Amino acid sequence: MAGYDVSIKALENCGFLDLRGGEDVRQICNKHLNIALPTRANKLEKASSGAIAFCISPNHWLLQVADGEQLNILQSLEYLSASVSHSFVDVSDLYARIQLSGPESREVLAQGVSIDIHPRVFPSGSTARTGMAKTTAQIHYVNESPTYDILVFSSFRQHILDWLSLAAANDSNSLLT
Amino acid sequence: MNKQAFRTNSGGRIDRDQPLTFTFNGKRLRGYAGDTLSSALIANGISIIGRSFKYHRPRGIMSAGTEETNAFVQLFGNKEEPNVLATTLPLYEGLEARSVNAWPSVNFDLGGMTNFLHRFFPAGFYYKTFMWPHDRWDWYSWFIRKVAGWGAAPRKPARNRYEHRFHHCDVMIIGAGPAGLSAALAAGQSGARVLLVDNQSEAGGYLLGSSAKINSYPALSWVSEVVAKIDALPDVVRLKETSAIGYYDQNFITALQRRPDKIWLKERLWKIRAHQVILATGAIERPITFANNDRPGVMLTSAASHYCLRYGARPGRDAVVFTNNNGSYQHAIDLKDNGINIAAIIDTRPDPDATLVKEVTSKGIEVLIASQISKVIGTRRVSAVEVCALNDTSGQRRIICDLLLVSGGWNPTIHLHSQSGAKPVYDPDLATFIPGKSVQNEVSVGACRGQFALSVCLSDGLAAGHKAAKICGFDVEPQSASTCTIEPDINPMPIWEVPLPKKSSRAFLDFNNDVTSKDIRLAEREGYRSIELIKRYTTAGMGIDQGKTGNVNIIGLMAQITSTTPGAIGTTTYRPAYSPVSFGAMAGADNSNLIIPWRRTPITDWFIKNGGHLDETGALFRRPLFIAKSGETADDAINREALAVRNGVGIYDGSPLGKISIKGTDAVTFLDRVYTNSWGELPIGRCKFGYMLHEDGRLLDDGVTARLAEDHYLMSTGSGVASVVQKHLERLLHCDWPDLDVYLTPVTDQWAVICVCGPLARNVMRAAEISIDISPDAFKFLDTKYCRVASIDVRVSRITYTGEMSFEIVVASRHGLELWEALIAAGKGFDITPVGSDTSMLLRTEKAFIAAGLEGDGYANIYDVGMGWLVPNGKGDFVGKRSTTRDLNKGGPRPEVVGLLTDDSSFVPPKGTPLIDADRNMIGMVTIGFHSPNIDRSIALAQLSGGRSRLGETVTLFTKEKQYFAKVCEPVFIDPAGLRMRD
Repeated sequence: MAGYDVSIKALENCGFLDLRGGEDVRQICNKHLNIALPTRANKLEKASSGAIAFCISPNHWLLQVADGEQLNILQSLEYLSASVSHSFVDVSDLYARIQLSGPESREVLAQGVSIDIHPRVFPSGSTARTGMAKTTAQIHYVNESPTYDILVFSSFRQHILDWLSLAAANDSNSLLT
Repeated sequence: MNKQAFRTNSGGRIDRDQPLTFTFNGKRLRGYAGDTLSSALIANGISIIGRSFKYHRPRGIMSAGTEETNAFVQLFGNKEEPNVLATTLPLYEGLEARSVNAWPSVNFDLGGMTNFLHRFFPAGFYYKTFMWPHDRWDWYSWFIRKVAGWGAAPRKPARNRYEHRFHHCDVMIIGAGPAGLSAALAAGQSGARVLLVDNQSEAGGYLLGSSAKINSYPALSWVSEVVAKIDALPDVVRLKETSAIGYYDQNFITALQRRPDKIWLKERLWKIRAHQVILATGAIERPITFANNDRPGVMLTSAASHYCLRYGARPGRDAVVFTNNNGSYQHAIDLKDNGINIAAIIDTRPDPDATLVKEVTSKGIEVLIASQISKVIGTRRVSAVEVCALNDTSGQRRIICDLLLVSGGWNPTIHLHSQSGAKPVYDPDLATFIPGKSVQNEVSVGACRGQFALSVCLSDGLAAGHKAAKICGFDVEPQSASTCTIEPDINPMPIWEVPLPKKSSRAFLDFNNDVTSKDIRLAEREGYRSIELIKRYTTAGMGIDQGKTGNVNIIGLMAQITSTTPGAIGTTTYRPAYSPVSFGAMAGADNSNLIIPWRRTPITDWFIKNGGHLDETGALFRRPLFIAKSGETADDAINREALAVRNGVGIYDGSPLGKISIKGTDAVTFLDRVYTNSWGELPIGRCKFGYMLHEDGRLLDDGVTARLAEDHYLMSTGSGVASVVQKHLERLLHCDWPDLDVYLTPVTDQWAVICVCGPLARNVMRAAEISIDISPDAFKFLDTKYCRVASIDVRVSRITYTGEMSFEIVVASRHGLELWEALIAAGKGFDITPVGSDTSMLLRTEKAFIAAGLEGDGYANIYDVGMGWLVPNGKGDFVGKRSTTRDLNKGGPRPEVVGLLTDDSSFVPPKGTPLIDADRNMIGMVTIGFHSPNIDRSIALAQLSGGRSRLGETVTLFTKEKQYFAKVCEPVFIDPAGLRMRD
């Protein structure tokens, strides 16, 4: 179906860990994961392993790893952090990943995301947790092709897929029931 | 097909090589690409475009822009749309338009009878007439609705779609006239992100209909050059045919774009956040109020010039200009140069600019100073005007003409400035309102701040563009402004109403709603002083055009009547939208099933395929109310499912239940504080039921919390209140108990929850090869254990929402459907029955399991719902504790939850049915009622004042149809001892 020049696809599951704790926890995680957990919300850091740490809010991170790695990491971090205040929760199934890519991705995304996604403000590698199509999403500007990875609570996965399809389409009536 | 008799032989910005065919009121006509519908109609000599709202007077085109007050049409064909402005609608091949508010035709309109009866339709006619008989309003309204309104709503869905778009910029410029273009170029060249919006199909603003020169060349050459430079800048977005319609807080602006860049789009609504806003919205020429000033052929002077110069369309052949300012003289010259005979300029001023007078006189145009038009002759088209001296109306001179051009001065377009929260101020020199002090990051430039000279517009825009960009951090050396034609000040002489020649004469102020100067005078005599009240009483300024041309004249006349100044009268409040917005644009693309972001569980698709009747059941989850087999009614399905759970085995998707992970060394302390009961003794691997209260003691939520590890609990909440509970708990942690070592993580979507329930549930679990011993002694009620079911890692709990033996299986969402299908397969031999949420509600009603959102109706406390046993004596503090200790919250007249058995066992009391006593006082209400197939009669739960003290009594249920009687009973209808669930 013609419309905006974009591609929309649901991505395979990833491992996700919800990490909470103070500076001591951050240091433990940094050392163990070989990553520098960002200290400001809406920032991310990537590890050479491919892991991505999103800062959700102060002392709160979302760690994205390859699916299957999350439980080992969780157990290791639990062991290393036994003496400090922390919370590590496996949330691998809490999030669904959807990828929006193509030359007109920004035009489609801007239909439902109210934050400024101009590359000058939101360059490649940026992230933000924000409202999208009446729900909440973690937007990750992956590369300048442009490609956006969108994390949403898994119960909203189909809604966001439908919404993106509608936003990108040239004939809304064919998509609506 | 008619020749375009009023088209000039050359000139204009139309493409004469691209003729277009269109129809108006069924008549085939021709125009050119680049025309608007109005310019094409003018070129074809069509003078009556529509009929007025109240008196059905014939009306023609008055302006050339969004201020148009008469020329609304209904579009047909593929682009069906009501009330489209002919003055802004670009002509296209095959356009089909009709007049509105006229029957049977615009040339012979039966509604015109109201014009002859106008004496009986004064201001406030509705309020005065339809008050009696007092009970006949419905009857009146039927007729009023028949005659009210303009166009008709489209009968078919729009073929093209609508879209919303968020946009951010450093500098937003509204208006692409000389000031706006200058500002955009200055800001854009600095490197700032600039958005330039303009409501016309091409940039240039009033220069499109002007003979002015810039840098010694026609101004439009300058426009082309600047537009080319702007369009070449990478971070400048220029939108044409885009009206800024609303200005809100924090420089949030909405703009409606017609015919956007994508052919499948009809309109796009932009939602813009700008750091700095430059308003270059120009000014609107205002008419003059005199007798019959609404006749077709009466037009704003600048509009006539615009049609002639921009479109090559002559609005008439012989024109008279009626003005009170210098601005009209150049227009008269331009029109004369383009073939329109200017019979005379009637200037109200005794001393107009001598140079201008000399210039027009040299062109053979007569100038009558200190004069006025007392009356227009002609009904369907101006045929002559009567002119008299300003202070002596006795000597009338009649001038033959077919076009009367009026200019009562200029009103800066201050709408957006005012919407931003700023207050306009009255400028007596300009006899109009100009922008006041800005309250947001905005500035008005050029004509919209009362600076009408082209030279000032150019320099104003340049300076504002540079300054705005500098504020945003982009500072480059400003360019010098272009040189241009020097124009005199407009120097208007206010004239708010020309005295009416006869008692029956009418002069119109608000053409759109047919409000006359007499209406304003009548309103004043009836005691209306506030301009806001006058507006609402007379409907002045309340039409589609929102008084763009009429409002200042109304304010001026009111000031004249009350011997004060227009500034003292003030303006009405300017509100969005500046120009009409379609419902489609407001709705955007995400209509229909995307209006609400429905959530799905991993099993939703299975229900859709297998007869599930889905509905929203809380927190935006759509769940099956029941799963009907072929030919079953809803009641059939619910009864079948309920019988299966009580007598065999059912399976239920509980995934929407809210789930919050609670971790930390102070987790027990936290739970003790948020629940009424104590949590210290709960062993790992056990669950406990708890009640959570608001601080004032009202029920907030109930649910089961499982202890998964030493410092790890998983709380379940009601589906619909999961986010409410989450916020409540986070607030407590952050604001009240920041010292607690507790972390909350919402994990609702992480886990799918499947409940196998009923006497045969254990058989099914074993058939599904559960990896643990689930015998009653090994796996007790409220135990929770990690294990495997159907080779999938799960956690199983012995908790119930139905009162039956139940196994609640929690599994990672990705395995939810796989596990569900495995359990269905394992239960096949036991006739396992999928159960919907309506059935689940019935089952919990049979057991009187309290629903915080039903029996706890927002007012109930824990005693009211019979759960006072969950408030242990001597427990430490918890949220809502104080309220549980107050006597007035216990017993007495407060409602308590009871059961009801109606005398007519087939009558199911609807939710909310009032319970009344012998004196017809309301003493309670039904919270839920069902037909219970398990006891084969209706049952209900109710909140009843002093409920438990009334057990055995009979109460009356009041419905619209009749009264029913019911016996008050214990609320638990099945298995009161709770043996089944503990089996």
